[in-house]
Amino acid sequence: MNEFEAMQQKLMLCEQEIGKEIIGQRNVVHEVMMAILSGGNVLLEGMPGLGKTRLVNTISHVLNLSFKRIQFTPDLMPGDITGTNIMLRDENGSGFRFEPGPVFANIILADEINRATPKTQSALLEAMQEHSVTVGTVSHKVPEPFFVLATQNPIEQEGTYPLPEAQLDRFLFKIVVDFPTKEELKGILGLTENVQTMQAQQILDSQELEAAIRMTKEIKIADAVLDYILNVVMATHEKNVNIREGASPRAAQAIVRGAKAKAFLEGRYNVSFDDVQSVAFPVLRHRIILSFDAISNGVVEDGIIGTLLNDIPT
Amino acid sequence: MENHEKEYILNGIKSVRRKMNNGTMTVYIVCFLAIGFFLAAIAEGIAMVVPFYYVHYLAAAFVVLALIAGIIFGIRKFKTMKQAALFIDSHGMGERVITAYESLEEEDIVAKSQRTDAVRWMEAGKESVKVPFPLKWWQPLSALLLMALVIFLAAYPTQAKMDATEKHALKEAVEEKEEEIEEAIESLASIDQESLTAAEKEQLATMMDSLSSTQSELAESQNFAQYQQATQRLEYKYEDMAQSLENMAQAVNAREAANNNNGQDSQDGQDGQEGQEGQDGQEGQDGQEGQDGQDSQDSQDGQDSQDGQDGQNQQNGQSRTGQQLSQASQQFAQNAGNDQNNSRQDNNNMQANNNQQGQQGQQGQQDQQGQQGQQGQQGQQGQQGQQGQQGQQGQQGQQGQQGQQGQQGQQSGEGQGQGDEQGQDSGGGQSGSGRGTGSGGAEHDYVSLPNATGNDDNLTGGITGSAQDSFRYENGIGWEGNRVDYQNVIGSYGERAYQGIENGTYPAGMTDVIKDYFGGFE
Repeated sequence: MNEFEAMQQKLMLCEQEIGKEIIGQRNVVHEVMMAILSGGNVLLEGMPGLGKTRLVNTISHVLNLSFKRIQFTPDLMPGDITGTNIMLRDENGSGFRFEPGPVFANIILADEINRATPKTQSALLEAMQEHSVTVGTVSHKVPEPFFVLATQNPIEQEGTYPLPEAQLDRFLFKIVVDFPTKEELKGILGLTENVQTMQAQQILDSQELEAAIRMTKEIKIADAVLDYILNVVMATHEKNVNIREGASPRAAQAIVRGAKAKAFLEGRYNVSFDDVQSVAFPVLRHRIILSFDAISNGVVEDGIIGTLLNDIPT
Repeated sequence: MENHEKEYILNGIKSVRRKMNNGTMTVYIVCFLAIGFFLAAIAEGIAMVVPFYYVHYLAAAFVVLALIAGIIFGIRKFKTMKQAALFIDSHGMGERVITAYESLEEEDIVAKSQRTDAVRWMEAGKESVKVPFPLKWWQPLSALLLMALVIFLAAYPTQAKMDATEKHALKEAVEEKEEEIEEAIESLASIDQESLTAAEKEQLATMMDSLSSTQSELAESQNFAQYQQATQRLEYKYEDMAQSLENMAQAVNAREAANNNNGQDSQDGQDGQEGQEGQDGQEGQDGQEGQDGQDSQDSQDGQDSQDGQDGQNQQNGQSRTGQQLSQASQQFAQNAGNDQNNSRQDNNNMQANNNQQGQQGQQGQQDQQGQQGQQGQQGQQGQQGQQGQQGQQGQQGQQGQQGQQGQQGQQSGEGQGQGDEQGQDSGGGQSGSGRGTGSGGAEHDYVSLPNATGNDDNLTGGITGSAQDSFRYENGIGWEGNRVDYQNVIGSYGERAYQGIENGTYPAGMTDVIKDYFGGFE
């Protein structure tokens, strides 16, 4: 067994451990793991109480990563996220010292990110893209690996500030957390209300996770599959009554990285068309801007993406 | 192990690719062949109502081109190795094969692991990878049905097809004849005319014009009947021209010899008399030999004689123009003989007309042979052979002999003024011309028809050689040994000629010549 196979087994084990605390939502867990292996950020969209926070918490535990949760509110200030310089006075005199904000952790849970003002939301932009925070004239590196998992509520849109397209594009995946089935809900109740609960074990550490991220990048992808990815992205720019703006070039990069992560997670060494079709949904659904006709007709992003994938030959 | 995996992957892809390409090639060939047969059927169908001789070639070309096009298109549609790998992957391989194929040269751990994974999947899914044969059942059936249709249409006889075949044969015959005429015209045009008189030049020009008109007439032939009529006219022209050229050659040679021998009068005159006398002893025999059709061996002998004594020939007055004229005459005579044979083979219905032509041809031939016989033992090619003999005889007097030729020519058949002209010309050149003049200047009181046995009192000389090659036609106005009144002869032939003109038997260009000819006797 080589190191790739060993890492693949550990990652599978991670998913199993996460499943101990997260009932159902296997696709969500799988896609979050794919995003983490791709080194990308995730936007989780779902109703309150579906276990989003618990999911992030469990993942950070299994992966042995530092975890911070930021509850976004309208009065949240950028400095509340990034940290600030504070004045110190002692026997040596007075000065300023940088006090890191909650953004300095491996995994950041930006809860209900759309409730903060755009100014505060943009405070996360540099950290998400550059993995650094600039306060004053000094830039501070955030710890690696660094992931931002943001959540937003699809309802209660009053008093919210929808994320601008530029910021949405920085999320690798947009994962929709569906309501659990009855069986899953029963499992959730049993998990939370019983005295004896199963605890997820720590499987990886940050170094191993970084190695896994490197291995993911080495997964092979054939030219034909690459062409297919490009065809999919280009198809979003073709004339389509339901699409106002198509996906950015970053979408193609996201599909490649996500597909590689999926293949690696599933114990393969190459990307398949199925991988591409699978990751196309979380990659494209927040990068396609629907037309007025589509919105008025109740057309959703996943429907358009599914149609595109069906129309493009492999 | 690694090499084994690479080989396994490559062989697996190649195998599938070969099967895919075979299927593709088969489909394209069959489909294009069907198209080719369809086009061929259309062509054959059209040829059933529209005469087109080359329709079979066209149909075959359609099929061959379609086959070639099918092969080319099939090759152009050949699958690549990547396409074959993707085809294998489409059987649940998860793009393992194409990825492994593209990273065959990579040796990192991921590439090796991926290759191993691909081989494992290929082995597991070997049975499931089936290359479908893309040929549909109706495609070869269509091709076969169309092929059968083409064969049927090609084999089914129609009037249009027969017309096409006849027209094609006519076209080929006309082309061959036009080529022959072209050569004849060229041979006339190549004659050196410096030694010719104005009348002779005009005569040559008239011959060329006449041949050109026949050429045009042949080109306009729409059927075999018209072609045969034109050919028969051409035969007559050939024969007439051969005789005229021969006479012209003799006249030219006589003039040349006269010029060359101008300073040897007394001796030459005596020699000429001797030569004439010597020749006299051979006249009957020679004439008979001429009628017998002195063969080519004699001609060759004469030629050989000339070849060996060119210098003496020059001295004897044999001119280049004379040789050219003689050769042209021989060519025309040969053409006439060929045409006659061809004409007989072409259509027996033309026999009556052929008989008329044959009579003329007989006369011409007899006359020519008579001359050749007269020219001595050299035979058919006589003019040259005669020169050889004369070269051997030295100063015996060619002119005198030629004067006798004129007489002999008159006696041997056609006569009628030609002999007179030759006799006078020859007589003017040499001292032996007295006899020729006497004969040529005689009254046209009767015409003597040569007896096959040679015992006509009016003919001199003996009988030599076999008579097995002689021609005996009974379609003349008399028979051997008869004496027919001259006016009757002229009148009979003239009547026939005028009747032929009215019937359109002769080319339009020849009617005036015929009228002038017979008009001169009235």
